[in-house]
Amino acid sequence: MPSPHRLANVPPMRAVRTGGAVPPALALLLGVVAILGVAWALLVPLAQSPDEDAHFGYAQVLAEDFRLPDEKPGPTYTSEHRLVAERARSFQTAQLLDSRTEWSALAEADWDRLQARLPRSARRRGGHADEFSGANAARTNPPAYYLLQAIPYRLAGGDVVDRWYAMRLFSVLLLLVAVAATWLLIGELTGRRRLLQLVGAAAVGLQPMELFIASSINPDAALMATWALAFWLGARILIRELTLPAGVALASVTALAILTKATSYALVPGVVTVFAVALSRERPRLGRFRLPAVASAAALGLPVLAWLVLSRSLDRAAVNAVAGGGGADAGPAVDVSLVNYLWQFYLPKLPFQTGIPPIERLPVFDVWVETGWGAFGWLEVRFPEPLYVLLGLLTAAVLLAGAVVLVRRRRPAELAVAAFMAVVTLTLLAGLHWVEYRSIVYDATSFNQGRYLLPVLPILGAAAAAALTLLPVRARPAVAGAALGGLFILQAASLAVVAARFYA
Amino acid sequence: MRKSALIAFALVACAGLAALAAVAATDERRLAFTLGVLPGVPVELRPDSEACQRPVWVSEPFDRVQLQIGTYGRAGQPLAVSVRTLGGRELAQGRLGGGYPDVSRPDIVVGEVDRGRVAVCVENTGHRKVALYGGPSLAAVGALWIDGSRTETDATMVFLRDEPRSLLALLPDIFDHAAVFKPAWVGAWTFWLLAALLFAAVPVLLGAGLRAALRADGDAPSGAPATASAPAQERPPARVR
Repeated sequence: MPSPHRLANVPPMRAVRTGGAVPPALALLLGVVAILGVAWALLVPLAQSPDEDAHFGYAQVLAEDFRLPDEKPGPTYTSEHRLVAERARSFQTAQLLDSRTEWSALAEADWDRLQARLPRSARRRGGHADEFSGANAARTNPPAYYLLQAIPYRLAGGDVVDRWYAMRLFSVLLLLVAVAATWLLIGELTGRRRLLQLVGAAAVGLQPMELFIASSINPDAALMATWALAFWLGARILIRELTLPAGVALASVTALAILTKATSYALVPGVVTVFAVALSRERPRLGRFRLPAVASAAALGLPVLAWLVLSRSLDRAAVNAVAGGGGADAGPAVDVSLVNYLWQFYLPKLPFQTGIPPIERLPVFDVWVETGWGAFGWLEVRFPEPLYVLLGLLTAAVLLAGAVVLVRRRRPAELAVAAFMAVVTLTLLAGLHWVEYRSIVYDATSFNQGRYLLPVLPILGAAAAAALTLLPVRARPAVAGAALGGLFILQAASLAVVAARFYA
Repeated sequence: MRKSALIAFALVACAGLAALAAVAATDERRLAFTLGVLPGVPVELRPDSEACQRPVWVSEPFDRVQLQIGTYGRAGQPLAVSVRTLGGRELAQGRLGGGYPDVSRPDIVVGEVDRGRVAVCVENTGHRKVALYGGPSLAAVGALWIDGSRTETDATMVFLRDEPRSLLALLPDIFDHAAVFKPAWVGAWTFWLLAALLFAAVPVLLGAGLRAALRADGDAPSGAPATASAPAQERPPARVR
């Protein structure tokens, strides 16, 4: 099949050469996301987002000692980290709605007096495993995000709080990348229809959980950015053609995602699909695409291989520690089949099925919808349940509408993009469910959280854009306006519940 | 077209803000501050014994102290609660009559205490032992002292105001609290500024974005010509954005 560009008789690289300034609608949306990102970053108390203490600890070890956290006996966190966590009551407030982080200025002044007396070495020698905290929970993550975070850590200087919040603000930049990439993805799919791009990109940039996670110290922020870029670059290749820069860019972004978090191996089957489709339609001229294909394979394979070799030489796990592994030797703790688990995750329990204690209610709602749309702090800060029902219904409606648009139009390039996205999403879901299944069987604990699906949020953005096109022509602007208004209110409500939980 | 988009945006935003304001005006709270200690460890308090948690940093004025008390399955014993300076001068005091149930969380009115560092003492004035609940002395500053001996426990103490205040009325306090344990350049002013940006600049910017998008689409409803008729492959790719 000839390239779409040759159909249109337009040289593919013209796209890059004629690229102009940032479209005003995108610039304004990025401004909004930046304001909200700063608000989230500064409002949420220190270490009151999932595993933030572990992620800060990892970045600090890397920035101060230039090594990775390990499991050797020794302090998990540096003494300056422990001091501020104790004085700010970070540990004892996590997940406990009756507790509050310290809000006494006197207590802060007392901490300030103590921390000013700490020697420089108080920033070093963390990253081991002590009796109280155990090993750093993030230690099995690859180092890419933490290396990036070493930049604001180093630049910020000051005390531990100054550096902590500088790192959070830096993370917000990654969200801007995710929003811009979603804009570009939808532009690629819709032919630069600005209203559709605005609504789709806003669905990513104004989604409460996305903003909350992206504005804390968490490698998921980099995951959201790299996955959004991968979706855009993959769609670009499928809609246009495989070129050397496009192929290498997609492969590099995928490698960066893998070096950020091993979850990103889920991108690989999708990326392979992109290259397979792109090469199959160029079959008569396959020789021309040898260089892009080989260079792309190298751009993906070499960094990942280097990390695998390095982690092996350092005697480290090359991928994240898989839950449930620890208890495997002791035998199953819960007797449940994979099919039974999957059924009860997505559908109500049938009378003859035995219950699965860690997932008693319907997890597709409790996990994917509730903790995917908004569960702040250490997931203990929630909206009233009816709001999640509404958000769940809207999400389902938008995804369904996106599928309807796809089926109605049956355009090969769009179907290929949809296949790419579906392969990535299904691989991600398969991995998450397999880990949770093992976790339930061997440790009797659940694993999944809605935020693990945030990297595929650009797909929801694209579906939202597609859903708009199903509406009568005259209704589209009003519905787009209402959608933006709803996302704005959701943001305001999210910030309000967080402020009320921690400071009132 | 632009008008309908902006009207819909404004309607939803205004309705949502009104609902938020209504919730904030009716959600009333009495919490002044807490030691943040969860009740996990019962500490025995014999008749005539006194337990003092000190120092307690008073970050907001309070009128009541809430404790969690165990009675070993019997009727609760009377308690005397006093708030003192660290030098021992009494600032406020209150009493809890006997007869309360086991593992209850009574509020004890002590009168207004302003700011500063204080000791909060609980004396068992009854004739049977009670248990004062607390938690391991891991994080909170200070400790619980029983008859002058330091324990490895902090008492579960929550400090309350007499008059509940709505979230809306608490906004200045919320921003003061939010500024603690933040970078040196952040103060309550930062959160006032961010609130102004959230409620004024963000809707204006979103509205402007909506207008800009519609203008760029030539006021043709998005998706109408290109996505409804021409296949993606036949559209000139021109610019990526």
